[in-house]
Amino acid sequence: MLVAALAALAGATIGARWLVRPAQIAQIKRGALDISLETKLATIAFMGALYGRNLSQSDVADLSDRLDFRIANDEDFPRDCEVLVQHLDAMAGRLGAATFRACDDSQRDSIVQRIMTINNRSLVSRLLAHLSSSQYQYYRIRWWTVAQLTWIYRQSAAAWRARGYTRWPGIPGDWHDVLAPGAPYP
Amino acid sequence: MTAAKRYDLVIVGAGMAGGLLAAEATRRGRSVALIEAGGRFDFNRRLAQLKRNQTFADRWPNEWQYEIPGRDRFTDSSRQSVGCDYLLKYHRVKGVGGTTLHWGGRINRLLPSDFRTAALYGMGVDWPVTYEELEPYYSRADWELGVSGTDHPALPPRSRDYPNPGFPFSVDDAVWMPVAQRLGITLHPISFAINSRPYAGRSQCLAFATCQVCPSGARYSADVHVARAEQTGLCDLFTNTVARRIEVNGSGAVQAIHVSSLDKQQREIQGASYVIAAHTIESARLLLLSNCGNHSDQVGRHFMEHIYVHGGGTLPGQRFFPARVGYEVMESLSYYQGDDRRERGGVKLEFTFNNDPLGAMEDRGLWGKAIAQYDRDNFGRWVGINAETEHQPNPDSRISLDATTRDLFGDPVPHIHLAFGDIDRRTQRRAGEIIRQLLWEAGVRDATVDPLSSFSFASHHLGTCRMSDDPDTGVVDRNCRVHGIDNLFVVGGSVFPTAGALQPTLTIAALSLRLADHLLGAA
Repeated sequence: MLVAALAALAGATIGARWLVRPAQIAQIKRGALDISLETKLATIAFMGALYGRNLSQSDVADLSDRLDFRIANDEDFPRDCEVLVQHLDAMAGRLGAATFRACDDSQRDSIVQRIMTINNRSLVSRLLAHLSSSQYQYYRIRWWTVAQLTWIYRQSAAAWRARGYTRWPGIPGDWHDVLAPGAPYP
Repeated sequence: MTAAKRYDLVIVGAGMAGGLLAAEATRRGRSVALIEAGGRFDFNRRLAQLKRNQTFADRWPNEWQYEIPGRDRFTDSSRQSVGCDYLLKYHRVKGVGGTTLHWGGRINRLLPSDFRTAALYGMGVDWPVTYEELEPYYSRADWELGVSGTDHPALPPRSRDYPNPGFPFSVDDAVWMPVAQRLGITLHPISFAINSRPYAGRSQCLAFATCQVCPSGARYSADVHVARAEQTGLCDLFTNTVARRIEVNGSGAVQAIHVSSLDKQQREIQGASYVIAAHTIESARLLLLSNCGNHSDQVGRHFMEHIYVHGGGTLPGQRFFPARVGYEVMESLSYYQGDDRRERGGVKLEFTFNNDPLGAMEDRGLWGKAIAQYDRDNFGRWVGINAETEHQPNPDSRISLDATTRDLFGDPVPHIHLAFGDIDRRTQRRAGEIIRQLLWEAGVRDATVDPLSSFSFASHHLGTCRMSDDPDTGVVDRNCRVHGIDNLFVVGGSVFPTAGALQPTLTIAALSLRLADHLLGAA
């Protein structure tokens, strides 16, 4: 009885893997401490799309600096970015665009929607993540990489400039600023 | 191997209590061995730590990276009582400066009534010292730390002015003034160990708004006093060195502290007097490992924390400008006592505007254009109140040794069991009611207040080596001396008999200065 149940579960799991197979990902080793410029720009574009923002050059420069710091201090993160961008580009290809960066706003929204609705909490997804490294990396995009990128964005000049701030956490200034109203939301 | 040098004072722990005591002792010409389990943090790396804070989502205390898994292992069964785990790594920093490396810098004296809760309210225990006895040390501590404050009738009496002017209310705080007037409550500026102007060689606040890592050094941390002690040439600082045993000789006096470095090199350090200032959990653990001071089974008991109850909501028509500095500047003690104080513990209120609508990505499932619009509609419209609540001393809330789990050196790790009683739950419930009432009065109609199952800890570790004149009910006497051992002392949050509902750092500093006078003679 138990053997039959286990066999059925294994069969269902293998079937489920085929059904929800993520984009094929090239093997990426951890520990590079760097990523290509293209990957970095695509990651930043994804951060902007997550928050519905068209980023200015200043925003991109600030996010790039923060991303560089993270990548230089976390040997897992370059691979996380590479995996993310491979998925983004694969999804862009299905929508007829060459890369994620080449997508228009509507296509980017659609891809963000797909990334954000990856169900990484279901029993099936957890099983799959245990059975396959590519499945694990796919789900990791949602539960880990997105969490890190959103944190970075929320601290960034991009987030605060959009609110009319000329200074943000991490930038020195004058504490007397709090005695006067700030700028309204642009 | 035995160190040849014999010190006047051997101190375990280079945090608030130990660092200040080391500075006082060396200033008075005494030799000090300062033993610190953690490492030294280079001030010049603060900007890099700030960047780490802002780029790693699991951020606290990621920027300090103090954890060494074998050394800092612990076990926890708090969930059984409080409903959640007590993840110690989020609540302390090991290193030169201790947890003051990470704190927000808010400074409070306990109220005179906090020292007499049994006599006044029939709950908790009375301290063997009074506010009046401690007051001169509070004032000295203000000047040592460089407190910026504004005297106010709601605050306890003081014998000396603050060294720095207080931070005034922010423009946003004005929203609470009519509410306070209607309800007859008093609001006052929070005091900070953050320089409002340059003080003692440290910068004034540069409003980085990242107080957990203060790159300007305007926010005090105890490595300042450790550095002063070292500069005298009388202090030997042993970093990455774990105190493992207190050795007591046949005549009942401490003979040495046995320590190990991270590479497991052992040595003993000897002195005339010994002070354990290793933070509440490790101080109790060291006494338990050494079988010191536990004659009445009191070591480790009455472990207390401050519980924060949060509430907030949107205020139509208002726009605030949060996050321009990293701290709130207004608080209230109007509900600290009150008519029902015999039924519940103290409640202190702090007023805040920090709530990031971008967090709604996960909270509300918004992203893309939807979250951009949500931020536009909601940023700066949120007003909140944090209530810091008192945790009553409770013998079942305790630190013990976990004999089944060992640390890097093979010693039993601390086992944490934080426990709440009925009074604590009533206090938290009352805090929620107060928050809801104030928000309603302010005009908030969508207020949410944390349920009792969802609160946060203030990371204020108190109790475990209670101060008491009676050896049967405490670990140390009124002078912080361990009952029955003439040359062994404990100082820090660990000796608090009760917790109050106010930030404990200034009281820790005051107790340390008082111990300095006791050990070394008046300053």
